[in-house]
Parts: sequence; structure tokens; C-alpha cells
Amino acid sequence: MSKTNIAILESSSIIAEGLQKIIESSPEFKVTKVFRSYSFTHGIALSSVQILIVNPRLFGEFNIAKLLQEWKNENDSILIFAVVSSYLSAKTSVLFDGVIELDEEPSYILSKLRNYSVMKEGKSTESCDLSQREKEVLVLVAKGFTNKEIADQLNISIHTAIAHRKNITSKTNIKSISGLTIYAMLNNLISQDEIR
Amino acid sequence: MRFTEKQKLEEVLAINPQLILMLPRFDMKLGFGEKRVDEVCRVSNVPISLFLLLCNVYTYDDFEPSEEDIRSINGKCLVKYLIASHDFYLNHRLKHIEKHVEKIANSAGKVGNVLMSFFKKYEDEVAKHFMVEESSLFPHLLKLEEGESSKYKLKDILEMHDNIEDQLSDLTNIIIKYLPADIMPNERIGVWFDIIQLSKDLIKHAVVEEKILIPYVNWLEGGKK
Repeated sequence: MSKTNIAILESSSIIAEGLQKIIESSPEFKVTKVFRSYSFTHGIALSSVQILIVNPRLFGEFNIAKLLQEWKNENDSILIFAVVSSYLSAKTSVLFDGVIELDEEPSYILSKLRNYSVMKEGKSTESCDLSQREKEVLVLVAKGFTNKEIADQLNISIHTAIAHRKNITSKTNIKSISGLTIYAMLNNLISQDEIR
Repeated sequence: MRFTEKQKLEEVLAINPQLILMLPRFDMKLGFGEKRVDEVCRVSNVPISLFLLLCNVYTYDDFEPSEEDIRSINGKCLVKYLIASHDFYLNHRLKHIEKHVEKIANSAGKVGNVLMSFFKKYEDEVAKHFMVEESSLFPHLLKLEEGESSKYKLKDILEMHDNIEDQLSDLTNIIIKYLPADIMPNERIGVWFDIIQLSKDLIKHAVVEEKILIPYVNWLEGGKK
């Protein structure tokens, strides 16, 4: 199995080295780069990195949103975690794929990193028991379309659309639209921005 | 088997421990020692027949109240009981569950935000559901019971009433079956029990309304005939 490469951007050597030690206690991760400061003109090389852990306090709230966008543009599959010692505003924390807090147990930090790398690789999609057609219907349900609109988009009759919805509910045991939306997100069928 | 007023309260609770939830809703205190149901009810000013009726409906799925049971209901006490139940669900159980769901959501990344907003939306719906009852159905009942006229009709009120159990069951499925394995397993097992307990109680609450509250309001609307 190839290792997941992780980069750290953190000015405190206590935190950066501590994180590195925790991360490398698990054989599946390798810290390939540690940046102690950030140069806005040169940026950082992220092409071979799967996860970037950043201390958001190095930047202002405005800059961090812009920077995250830049980094995602450079490497669109990268996962970006925040490492924080104290409260991070909800507005900022949602920009990140995950948040690591300094008082968390090492095993918990590792499980967070592991979880998100699995989700990103789309492995969880395999565990989803729905047929291709049901997945298409599910995505439209999650986006808030009515049965009629779903039928039109997929070129099927409204009865077929309803039958697919019933099957989705009986397979997953989830009845409400908001519950199905979460299910679709967990299976990487839809992203948060697509929900209307 | 049915509960009777000569049974000790402790025996009633041994048969169905869930009935402990009745006590705070009727302002009945713990520390009742060896007292019988009728004695405990008298001390707390709770109509014995209503207390037994609720215990029986709560416990025995096949229990159907008789016409006599419905006619002898004390509406004020029933309403007090139902409002106290609402308060318990909304301000105690759901707030408790929310804290735990929030912990789980905080470590679930982007999905966490959606999970949290799902939960908040659910709380709002439950609050709205109870609000409909407290602002129209209960005043309707109390007016009719006093022999006054009421601007509401049971039929119209029930139309505004929707299901609040589906999302709770969705939540248990998401938390146990679908969130990735590593996210806070112990927290999830704990909150799972809390949600199941709440949903059992909510189902019984709905049965109480269906078998006791609605027939009583129906009877009042029919001019107590």
C-alpha cells in the first residue's frame, strides 16, 4: 500500500514536530514537508501531497478562504485540515475538510486523517447497496427535485421514479429527504454545494 | 393484565420501568416508599383514574379505553400532563441528544454540518408540532370542557399535524450504519440508545393522543353525549 503524504504548515516547532511524530507513528502516513512560514509570492508545492495540515492563525480569515481555494486549484484532490489550539469560528472551520485540536488524543487524530483519506478515495461508494439508477434518483432527491422533475430528467415515468424512491428507502431504511441527503453525501454521490 | 389502584407503585414500575416518566409530568415525587397507586395519587392531587388510564395505554398495546374511561377524564390534568411531556422531549431529551450529535458532527467534517442542520431542522419541526397542539388543540379542549364555545375544530387541527418519528429513525440509521467507522464510536453508541429511548417514548405519546386525547375531544365536540 502506498503511503499518504502529508504536509504541515505551522510556525510553532512544538506543534509541527509533535504532529509529525503522531502522524508517523502510523505506517500508512508520511510527513513529506514541513513549512514553518508561508510566502504569498512563492506559495508551496503541493502536487505530491494528499493532505495538508495548516494553522489558520497564520493568516487572516479573509486570506485563509482565498488560500484554500488556491491550494485546491493547484491540487484538486488535496484534503486540507486546520490545526487549532482554541476555538475556530464555524465560518472558518467549514472551509476545511477537517479540524484537528491540540488536546485530542493521537489515536483520534490519526482516525480523522484515515477517515477522510478513505472517503476521498471513494472507497465508501462500494459499500453503497444502490443500483446505478437508484443512485441517480437519490442524487436528484437530495438536490430537492420532485418526483415529476426526476422522471423528466431521467426520461422515465413518474411511477418508475416513485418505485426507485421506495426501493432506496427500503434499502437504506431512511425516509426523510434530509436524511437521504446526508446518506448521499456520505457515499460521495453529492457534495454540500450541490444541495439547494 | 391491567394496573389497579390497590397495587403498590413500585410494583407498577417493576412491570414497566418506562412509567417512571409519568411521575415528574404529574409532579409526583420520588421517595414514595411502600405506598399504593391510589395513595400516591391522592398526595399529589392526581386523578387516580387518569393516572391508571395513562399507565395502561402506555404499557399494554391491546388496551382500549372504555367509553366510561373517556367520559371520566379530567381534561385539565390531561393537558398538564401532555404539556409537561412536550417540555421534557423538547427541553431535556432533545437538548441532551443535541449535545452528543454536535460532538459527533464536529468530528465528521463537511458531513457534520449537514448532520447538524438536519438535527436542528428536526428540533424546529418537533417544536412546531407541539406548538400546534398547545396553541389550538389544548385551548379547544379546555373551552369545551368548561361548556364554552370554541373557534377550533378537531378535524382542522389534526390536518396541521405531521409525523415527527421518521426523522428520528433516519438519524439512528445515519449514526450507526452510515457514518464512517472511525468517527467517535462510543459517543455514537451512547446517543443511539438515547434516541431509541426518546423515539419509544414519542411513539407512546402519540398512542396516548390517539386513544385518549382525541376520543375525549370528540366526545366533548359531540356535546358530551
